[in-house]
Amino acid sequence: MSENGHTTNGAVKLTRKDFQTDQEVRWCPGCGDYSILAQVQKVMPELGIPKEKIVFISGIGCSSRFPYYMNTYGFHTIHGRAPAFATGVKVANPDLQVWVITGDGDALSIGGNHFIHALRRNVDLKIILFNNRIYGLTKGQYSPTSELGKRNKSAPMGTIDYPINPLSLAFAAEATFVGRSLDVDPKHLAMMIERLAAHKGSGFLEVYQNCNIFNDGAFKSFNEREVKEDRMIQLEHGKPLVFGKNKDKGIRLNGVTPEIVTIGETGITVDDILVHNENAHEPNLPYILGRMQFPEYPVPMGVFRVIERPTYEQMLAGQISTAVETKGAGSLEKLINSGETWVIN
Amino acid sequence: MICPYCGHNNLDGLDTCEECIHDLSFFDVPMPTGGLQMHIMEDTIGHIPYDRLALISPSDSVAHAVSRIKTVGIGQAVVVEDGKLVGILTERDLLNKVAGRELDLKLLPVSEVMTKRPETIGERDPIRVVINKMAVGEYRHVPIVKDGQPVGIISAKAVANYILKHSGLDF
Amino acid sequence: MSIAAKLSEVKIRRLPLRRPAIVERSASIRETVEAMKASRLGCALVCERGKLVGLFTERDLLNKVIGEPVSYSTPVEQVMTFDPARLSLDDSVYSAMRLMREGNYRNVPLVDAQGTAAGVVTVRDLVSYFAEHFPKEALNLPPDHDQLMLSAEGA
Repeated sequence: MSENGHTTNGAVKLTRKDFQTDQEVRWCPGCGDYSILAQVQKVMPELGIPKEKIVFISGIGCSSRFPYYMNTYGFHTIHGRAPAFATGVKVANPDLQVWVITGDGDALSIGGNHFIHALRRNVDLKIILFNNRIYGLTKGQYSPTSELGKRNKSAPMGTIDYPINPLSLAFAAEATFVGRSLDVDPKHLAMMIERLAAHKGSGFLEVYQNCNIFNDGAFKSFNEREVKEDRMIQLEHGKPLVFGKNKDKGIRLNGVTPEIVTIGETGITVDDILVHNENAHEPNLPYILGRMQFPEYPVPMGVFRVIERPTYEQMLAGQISTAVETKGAGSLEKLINSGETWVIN
Repeated sequence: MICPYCGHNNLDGLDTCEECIHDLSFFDVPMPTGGLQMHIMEDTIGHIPYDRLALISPSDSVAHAVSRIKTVGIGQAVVVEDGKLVGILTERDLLNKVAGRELDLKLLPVSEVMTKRPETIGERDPIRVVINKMAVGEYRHVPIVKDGQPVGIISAKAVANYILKHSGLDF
Repeated sequence: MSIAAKLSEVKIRRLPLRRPAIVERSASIRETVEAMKASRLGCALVCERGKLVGLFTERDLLNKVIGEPVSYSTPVEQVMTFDPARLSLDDSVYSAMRLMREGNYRNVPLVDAQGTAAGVVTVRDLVSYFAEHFPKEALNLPPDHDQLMLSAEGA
């Protein structure tokens, strides 16, 4: 229930309404982005951070309209460059909580490079990628995550591009938090946003989002309510990877290949099932889980990997203070005017 | 998507049919199809029975508000100032802010316990809006306002009963 | 599957239920209230050696405690609803909706075959279930209903 009460230290507790703006929310009727917006607006007040300490930065695309609808600081930047802006904002203002909202086109097409390096540097950014497997804003061309053979406006005979898996790319880019969620499961999404907010370091959350105009039902084959228990698997740290309506199927590793086994058949017990470990230093197992796709495997959801490492801005601040201690504060003006200079008139 | 006029299988999201040039933009957005889905899209809040209103003012004491709520026989009161809705006082507010604490309810004003600026809806809003507010907003009571003045209140119970009525099950 | 078929087949255990407060019948009203606040739900299951014996809700708090000459140290069993209507996790969502309507309940405690308290299903769980059942129509809506878009957008 919404409460506009006061916290114990007298600060006014924020509510979801405080994070809403008066801007007309211009997504198509039925778009999955509304659900993600609602859950972000629900989680923000729980974080206890004042609005002026939060920034939302986006690139270009339907997902990237997000900052207009959040009553916090925001940046609507150029195509694919949101992680670069965000790195600058965070390094210059380490006390701000910086979120990057991007899409499969913005982050993986034109923005691929910035995406990799922002994650690699372990800058404390929270990157949410709205994956709808299509270019939505430009009205229906295929994106780097569209399936091979998909018919659409820019590929009327079917795409001949092999798609990329955003999670695989995030693991390769050394992201320290990698997760996946769905727009149609609000509770899971809220939980994942909270975990992403709590993480210190480069955080990446892929959200399967339905574009009901240009790619309706892209995830229906596994996330429909009747089948989702058999076709998706929830990852929980320390728990065996069990799924199915009767919780009788599990994932076991055969060498490096996952295989689906049924508990109770051919002597398989729950002890044979792979146990999920979010905190393993190397992302080998999460990588294997991230490659599991429907229909061969159930689609995993949840936190794949979360580790702690010194962040870029922490190390940078450390180096700056060491330099100042040993060499003095320095002066930019002196630096610019040092060496050989000429006056031209 | 299949064109409803000529049956041609178009690409997703096209504005006009490739075969017969009919406008397709209306069919992409959620349309009422039938059954419960149609009801929640087309029926308005007016189709659901409103709960009785208990009206109080922000300066009333919580003791008075509680006795008023009990007299009307419901579980919440709507707080008005100059005729306009300014807050709502529910059982949840009483649980979280009043219960178990040493407070003199005759001295505690409603304004310190109520939920300020509650979510509201209009009589002509479709039912799906109130379902959304209750599910996403986590409210169990949503006041109905007209020009800022409360005219009723919808409870989650009433919404659940409405859904059951239109779900097609014998009831 | 039609909504009617779904409601009759989907079991309550498939809903994302929340954990209610569970207290002993001898617990004070104060302890019960604190447990309810922590659970963020509007009711507490009252048990004796794990078996459900009563239900204490916000409505009981309003009608029997607040503004009444009852001390918060009183054992909750004196103000709870004794022997409440209940269901099991394997009953259908439809049966939960019917029971809530027939009894005018918002919270229905859940027990297992032995009568041990196993959770609660609330009217809000049901409304959330429906919102998620109709994502395009009911879940994916703008924060302010005035902002409802009528047609598709695009660059």
